[in-house]
Parts: sequence; structure tokens; C-alpha cells
Amino acid sequence: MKNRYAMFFSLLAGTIILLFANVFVQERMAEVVKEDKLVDENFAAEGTPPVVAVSTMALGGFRGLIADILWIRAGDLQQQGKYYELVQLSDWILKLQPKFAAAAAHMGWNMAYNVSVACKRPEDRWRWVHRGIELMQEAVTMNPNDPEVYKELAWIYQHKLGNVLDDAQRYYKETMARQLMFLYGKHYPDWKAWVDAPATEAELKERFPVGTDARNAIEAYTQGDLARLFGEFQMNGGLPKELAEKLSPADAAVLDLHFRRRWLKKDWNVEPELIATINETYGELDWLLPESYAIYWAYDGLSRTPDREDLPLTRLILQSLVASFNYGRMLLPKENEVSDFFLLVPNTGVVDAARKIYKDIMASDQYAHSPFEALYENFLIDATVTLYTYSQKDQAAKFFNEIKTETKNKNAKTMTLDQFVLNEWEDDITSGDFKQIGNELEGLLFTSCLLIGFGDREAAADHLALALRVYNTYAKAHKGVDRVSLPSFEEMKSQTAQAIIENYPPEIANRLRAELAEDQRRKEESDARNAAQAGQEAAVP
Amino acid sequence: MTAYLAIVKLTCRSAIRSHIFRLLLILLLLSIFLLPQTLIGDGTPRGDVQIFLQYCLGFAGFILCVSSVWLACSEVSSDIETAQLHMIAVKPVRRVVVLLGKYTGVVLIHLALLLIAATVIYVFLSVRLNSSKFSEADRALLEEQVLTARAVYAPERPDFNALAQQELDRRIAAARERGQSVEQYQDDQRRREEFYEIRRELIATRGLIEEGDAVFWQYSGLPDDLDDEDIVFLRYTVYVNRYYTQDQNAVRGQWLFTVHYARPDDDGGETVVSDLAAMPEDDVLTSTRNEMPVPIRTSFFIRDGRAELGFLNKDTKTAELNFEEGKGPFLLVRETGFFSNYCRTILVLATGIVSITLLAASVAACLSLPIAIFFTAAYMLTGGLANYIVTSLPDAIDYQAEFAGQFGYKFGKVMLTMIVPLQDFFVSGRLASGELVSFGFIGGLFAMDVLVRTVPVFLFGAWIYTRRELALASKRG
Repeated sequence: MKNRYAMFFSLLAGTIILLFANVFVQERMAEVVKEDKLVDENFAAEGTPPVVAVSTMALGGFRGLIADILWIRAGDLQQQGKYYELVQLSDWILKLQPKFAAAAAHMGWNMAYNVSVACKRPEDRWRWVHRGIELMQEAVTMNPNDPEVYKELAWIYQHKLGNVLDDAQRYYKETMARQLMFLYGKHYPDWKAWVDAPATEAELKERFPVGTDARNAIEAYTQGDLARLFGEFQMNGGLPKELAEKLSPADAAVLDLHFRRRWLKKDWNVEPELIATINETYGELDWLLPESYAIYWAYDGLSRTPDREDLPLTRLILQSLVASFNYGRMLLPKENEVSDFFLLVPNTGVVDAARKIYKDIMASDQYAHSPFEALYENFLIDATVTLYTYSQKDQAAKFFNEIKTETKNKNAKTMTLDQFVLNEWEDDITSGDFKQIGNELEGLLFTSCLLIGFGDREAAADHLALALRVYNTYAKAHKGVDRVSLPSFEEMKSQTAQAIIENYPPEIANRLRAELAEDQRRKEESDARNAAQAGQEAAVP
Repeated sequence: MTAYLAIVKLTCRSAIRSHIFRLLLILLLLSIFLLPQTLIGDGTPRGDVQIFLQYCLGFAGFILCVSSVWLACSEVSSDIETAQLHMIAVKPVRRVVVLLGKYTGVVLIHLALLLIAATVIYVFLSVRLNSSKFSEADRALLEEQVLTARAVYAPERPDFNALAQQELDRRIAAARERGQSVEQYQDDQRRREEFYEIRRELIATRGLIEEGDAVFWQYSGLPDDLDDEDIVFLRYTVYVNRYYTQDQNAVRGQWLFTVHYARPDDDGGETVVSDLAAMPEDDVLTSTRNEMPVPIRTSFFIRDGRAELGFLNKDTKTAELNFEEGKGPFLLVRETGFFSNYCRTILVLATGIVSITLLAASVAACLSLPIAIFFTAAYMLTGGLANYIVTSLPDAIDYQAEFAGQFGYKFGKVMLTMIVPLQDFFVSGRLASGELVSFGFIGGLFAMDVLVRTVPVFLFGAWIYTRRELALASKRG
């Protein structure tokens, strides 16, 4: 009996001691959980989404079984080429197994890649790609700490929408830009103002307290139903005129941005705070383009990893930044109006950020033996040529110096910047055939004329100058060989301009026509001046 | 008869008082009213209507089936367990009449619910169709492909067994001719293996088309009375190599149609001439279900209920195109309107309820409530699994399948001859694809699944019910 009491009390004492000791480690454990992101912060703060909570509670262990059956059904239907149920089945699977991020990533990828290409019309393809994106965005909400979903989502933006591998890629870019332009209200929104705008209805009410003119005007218009006003806003892309007139311009702007940021969150699951941070970190991005969204998701995913380290996500940011550097600015014939005649030109503002990531990666031990050095050299060369071609000669010189000092490129060490850039083109010119050179020249002339059409005269002049140099180099290399001789440079230029005038919208055509007329006037003036000068010289005995 | 009607009435009343029945009723209402609001289609009007039809009818039918099983089991067996049966048994009513009365009550109440559910779903669909602003093209597509009832005609299937046997005989003869040993063919097992290998190869290569080649399909049993205004549709799925390969993309091809037309002959009469009409070369999407109207006047295309068409592979990028055996191309001919097809779909569901309730009542006549429910559920599950095994292992009967595959296939086959597969009654997928639910099909279902497979079980159940000792009930009571 005595022994039993002794046993009981020693166990009790042990338990008390352990519970007491727990106090000392509890705090540290909570910190570790937080630091290593072992719980979903969103779920902890806002609670599990109701549908997930209900399905988890009601179905228990059968959830997995049902999800399996739905998965098999989805596979069977896809095999039969019947896709109309796929969205519903994927949605149910995600809700039944919200933590199975790989499954969600696969389903989203499948819709965006496999199902979309089974459609002929670009609008059908876009719908499937968009469905895939929506599913992944929902998966991100369910798995905010899983880098895999972020990676897949960023990849769809960067590869499927941003790249040129899909026949409908221009349609994707145009549609995405149209939707976003309607949402933003203008091409380059002031993201800092968006950040300052109230994010929620509660914040809006705080900004416009009871009794203020703005609050009275809003309540009089909405009759307490702000959701209806939000719906109206999304329909029209702005505040109703009747309400806007009753608000002061500053209040109207606040309300406008409040709705826009809520809309951005609802439809694209994107926060302006992060956009502003990304712009600050990497340079001003064009947020109509998929590459910017690829950077957004990869950056968001990276920021949620415990040590902010994830090679695939870092690579995605880098690839998207490089893509953004090459084609990351959308030129539109009319300001703030997306048209299918858009032109993608380099976004030179992100080149430094891309270079920094390259350098960071190379400095890291983890990637010491990776092929990044060769990639870095190619990047520097491309950057130099692009910056040179797009009127950023100082920047180009900076990158050219880096090629000289940081790489083993022999050409750079013996040439000037001009020679180096031309040499890069000459490689193609001397090795390329007649047709290839013709195409390249036409490409340069076409871009030059288009840039005039879009109003970027400086870049146009650089392209034209480079085209002339390429032309002269080619003509010199193939002098006397009639078989491979090109038409005159002026003739080529005129033909290209004429093609654009005939096929592009009036805004572009008119600008180009005016520029050509101006060119002609200048030429005539110069000819007249030359003739007069020649006359004067002839008159001098 | 009075007693029978009284029992029917009592059963209906008792059903309405049952808590579980009420719960299932709520689920039914949810499936009718809430489900349509939560469904997400593929974004096209056609896809949205298809998913609406398939899921709303499917859910309503499923809940009614579950409810009928529960109620039939509960009405029949719980009466014995709670000694309520004594109230009836002491009266001059035959036990078979009691069982039939209960069965009829359960069936009637569920058929009434089915009718209400079907009406509400139809009204919802009509409202949806009338209130949506579809483009002309979308509406036309919807009416051509979904809101219709088209009979589906599959191409004639070659006799692969005969072809395989011919090929085997040819190989043996060729080996003999060359003076090679034919010892391998003497052994039955080896010969069988060779036979199945050839058969498998013939099936796999039947729809395989190399670049520049064409494959033709023949159709029979097509209606003869079609006008030129009647459009015949062609539904097909083509793959680059096999469906699971990654190479799926748009390919170039050309459809060829055999046309028949009359040409005056020298005697002043007419001779029917057959010729080949080639459609313009076009891009064809692979790995998706394509549908197009046959671009030939029907009277030229169908003659004596027969038709022939072919596909010419003109794609230079890909190795082979594949129209897998059993996956078409199908010809679709409009037989009747959507409303008629909808009613037929409901009729099939009603047949299902009649059959399932019959089964549940007969099982409950022999067993206690939980065991009866478990047995019926297991029965339905086995039917579903057997059907899945048989359809997913079509070649398992061949020698190459592993033992488990062969056993599963044969077991599934045996089970399917005895058991009613529940999914036979769910034809909303056909309705949603605009495919005809024919009276022949409904008659066949009724004959096989009700008369042949379920009625004998019911008779057995009724016999047990009449012989069953009810003293247990009186002891408990």
C-alpha cells in the first residue's frame, strides 16, 4: 500500500515538474513554429475557410476517398475529351484536400497547359488558362507557406502567358492587359496611393467617419449597401458619376482606390503593398504583363519560406526579370487603352536588379558550381546590346565595362562599345544567309518604324542607326555579288513604313506618316541647302 | 384490395414521419435548389448547361435511391422488430399483400418526389436558358449539341477474332512454306498467346494512320427516312500516337465521305454511282472531343441505312494519328427533342427506384434493419465496382493479364450477370451530351434489371416473409 502511494506521488511530482518546465520551453517552441512557418498564418488569423472546415468535420476520413474518386473521374473524363466537369471536380478536390498542394498544382497546370491546347479559339484557350490560374490562387490561399504552389503559379504566368510558345500567346497578353487596365484605370497606377487607400470596408468607414460629407454622400447613394456600389464599380470600371459629383475630388479618389484594391484582391489575389515593395526592390515593372505577376508570386512564395531561400523561386524571379528586361514594357497606340496592336519593348529599369540577383546567386556557396557564370556573361552581353539599342548608352557602357572586368570575353577587352555592339550583330551578319539578314534588317526597321508610331523617337533613331550600320556592313561584305544584294536602305525603310501605315491603327499610322513627312521635309531642305551651297561654290571663281 | 391500399397509405404516412427520410428530403431540396447555384462549369453556355443537367439530375436521383433503400428496409423490417406487424398480421391480410403494399407505398412516394424534382430542375433550366444572354453562335451550339436527342451510331467493328485467326493461319502457312519449324504453334498455350498478341495488335492499329494514309469506317442501321435538312453530326476524338503521350496538338487532316448519287445511263434509266468526296484540308485538335456537321447532303451520304467515311492524315510534323478503337468516330442523328429525352431520362431513374426498392424490400423481408441496409448498400457497391472492373479491364481476359486482373475481370462479369449496377440508371450524362435515351434501352433495362434480376429476388424475399417466424417480434413486443 505504502509503495502504491509512493508511486502515485512520485508520478504526480514528475508531472508537475514537467508541466512547470514546459513554461520555459513553450515560448521558444511558439517562436520556432512562427519562424519556421509551421502553421498557416492566414488560417491562424482568419480561421479555416468555412467550406474546408465543414467538409473536414462532416466527411472526416472519407474526404480522401471521395477526393480519389473525383480524381479518377476527372482523369477518365479528360481521357474522353470531356472537359466541362473538370473545373467543378478540381474545385471539389481542392476543397476536400486543401493541404494537398501538389494535387492542386497539377490540376491548375493541367487546365492551363493540357486542356487549353485542346481548344481552337484563343478565347477558349484563355478561359482554361485563367481557370488554372484561379485554382492555383485558391490553392495559395489554402497553402500560404508551400513554395511549390507559388512556383507553379509563377511558372504559368512566366511560361504560358509570358513566353511565345503558345499560338494564342498574344491574345493571352492582350486579354490580361485589357482586364488589368480596366481594373487599374490607367497603365501605370500610383501604387503608393493604392497602399494608402483603405483596404477593407472597416478601414473605409474609419477614413470617412459618421457625419462627414463623404460618409453622408456614400450612405445616401448606397442606402447602406456598399456591396451593391462595389458591384456597380466593377461593372463600370469607376465610380458612378452621380456619386462622384457629390464627393470632393480627394474623397472620390480615396473611394475609387479602395474599390480598386479590393477588386484586385478579389479577382487576382494580389496586394498593392507587395507590388510597391517589388517595384522598390527590382525597379518599376509594367503590371499589365504576365512577367510582373510571375515575379509577384515567386517573390511572395520566397518571402514565406523560413530563410527566404528557395532555388526554384529565385530562378523564377531571375528568369522573369530577364524576360521583363527584354520585353517588359507594353507600348500602346493610345494611352491607357489596350489594343491588339501592342508592342513589347525592353524594360531597361530592371536590368540592375537582374544583375544583382545573378551576382547574389554566384556569390552563394550553394551555386558555386552551377553554369551561372556563362549565363551571367550572356546576360551582360544581351544587356549591353539592348541598352545600346534603346538609347541608354551610359548604362550600356557600364555593363560593357563589367563584361571587360568580370568575364573572360576576349572581344570586349579589345573593342570599344560601338564596335562590340556592332560585332554582336556582325556575328549574325557574316554567318547568316541572305534571307536571314534580310529578316533581321526588316526586324530592326520594323521596330524602328513602330517605335516612331508609338512615340518613342529616341529608341527609333537608335534602331534606325543600327539598321543602317548592319546594312552597310552586309553591303560591304557582299559587294559585287548581285545574287545576294539587298534593295537600297531607303527603299527598305519606305516599304516597311508603308506596310505599317496600311496595317496598323490610325494613331500609329498618323504618327508615322507625320514623321515620314517631317523626314522628307528635312531631306528636301537639306538637299536645297546642299544645292545652294554647291551653286555658291560653283559661282566662286 | 382495400387492405392493400390501406397499407400503401399507412406506409406513405409512416415514411413522412421518419426522421431519416426527412433528412434525405432536405438533402434532396438542397440538391435541387442550392446545387445549381454552386456549380462551376467550364465557362461556356454549353458546358454550364451540361454540368447543370448532369449534376442536378444525378444528385437528385442518387438521394432518392438512398432514401428508397432506407425507407424500404425500415418499413419492412422495423415493423417486425417493433412488433407493429402484429397489428396487421392479426387481420385477414396475406403477408405478400403486406409486403407489396409497403413496397408500393415506398415506390409511390419516391416517384412523386422524383416527379417534383424533375419538374423543378426543368423549370430552373428553362429560366436559365431564357434569362441568359447567349450569343447566336453559343445558342446554336447549345441547341445542336445539348438540347437535342441524337441517336449515336458507332462504326462497324471488324471481327477481330476472325481476323486474328486468319492472320495466325497465314503465319503458320508461311512458316511451313519457308520450311521453318511450326513446333511453337503445336502447343495450345503458345498458339493462344500468339492469337491474342495478333488480336491485340489488330485492335491497337485499327485506327492508326501514318502520314499520307487514310482509314475508313462503315456504318449500318442508319435511318433511311432522313431529309436533306436533317443534319448528321460527326463526333470524334483523335490522338497523336496514344492518348497519354505529351505530343497532343493541332494536326492537319482531311475528312473523306463516300457519296452516292444517281447518274442517267444509256438505257434512259439511272445508275447509282459511289464516289469519294474530300473535304478541304483542315486543322484538327487532338485529345479533345470534336464535333462537326457532316458537310454532305444526307441523301448523298446515307444509302440503304449505310454510310462510309474516312480520314486522311496530312500532318507532316507528327508520326501517327490514332482513332482508338471503340472511340468512334460516331455519327449522330437527331431522333427527337430535348423534352422527350428529358422525360425518358426521368423514366430511367424511375425504373432504377422501382428496381432498388424491390431489392431493398426483399432483403428487409429476410433480415433485420441494419443488416438489410448494409446488404443492399454492399449489393449496389459491388454492382458499381464490377462495372468499373469490367469496363476498365477490357483486355484482361487475354492471356497476358495477371492473375488478379483476370480474376477481377471474370468476377466482375459474373457479378454483372446477377447484380443490378446502380449506374445503369444514371443516364443524365447522355442527356447532357444530347444523346438519345431510346425506348429500346429503357425496355432493355426494365427487362434485365427489373424483371430478370430483381423480381426473382423479390419473390424469394416474399416467400421468406410468408414463412418467417414472427414470434421474435412478439417476444420483443
